[in-house]
Amino acid sequence: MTDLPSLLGALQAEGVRFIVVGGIAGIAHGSARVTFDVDCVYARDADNLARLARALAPFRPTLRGAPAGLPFRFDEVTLRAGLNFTLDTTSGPIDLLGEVAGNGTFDSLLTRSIELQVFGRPCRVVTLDALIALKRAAGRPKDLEAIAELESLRGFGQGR
Amino acid sequence: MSEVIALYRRDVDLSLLRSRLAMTVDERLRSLMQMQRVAEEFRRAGREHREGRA
Repeated sequence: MTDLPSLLGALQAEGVRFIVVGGIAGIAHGSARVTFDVDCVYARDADNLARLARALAPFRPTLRGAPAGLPFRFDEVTLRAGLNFTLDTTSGPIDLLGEVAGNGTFDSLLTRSIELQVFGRPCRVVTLDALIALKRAAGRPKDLEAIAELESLRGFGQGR
Repeated sequence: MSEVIALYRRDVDLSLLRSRLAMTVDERLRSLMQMQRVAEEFRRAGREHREGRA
């Protein structure tokens, strides 16, 4: 059963430090594009890795697209050893990103994010300018279309 | 045209497609509706933030 609000709620309740980037961040700034997963840049300090592991454990995360039966243990050790994780959970897909192109770490994005109230809890989302910069750095063809729309939104004077 | 499509195909998230294909049609639609619920909540939260700032 897909239940992304529960997944986000668990991260928020556990006090995980993360910033929403990608398509969902674009939607917060007014984008009309459709997205099918949640992308989060998370802080890499030990305390946050422990919080992240605790928060998501009940949702039994697995590596999305990995062969069936491939052993995968979602804990602090795995999080520390890896960086970016594309996960399926019992409540839907989520991408946990330690760093994205364009110096997109949690610490570097923190001052370029805003706090929104999402499902009744605070949730940080990158600013429109930061999102455009990240997508420019990624530079994939699909990002170019998204950038065109986001820059149009900026033209409307939407969130910086 | 084919070259442009090939460029786009390079970045298609195949893991997401496999995940979708593992679902029944009913599950895909439910998943889409859930995602729309999340999207709508972020859209509302962003709008509220902008209005509060104005």
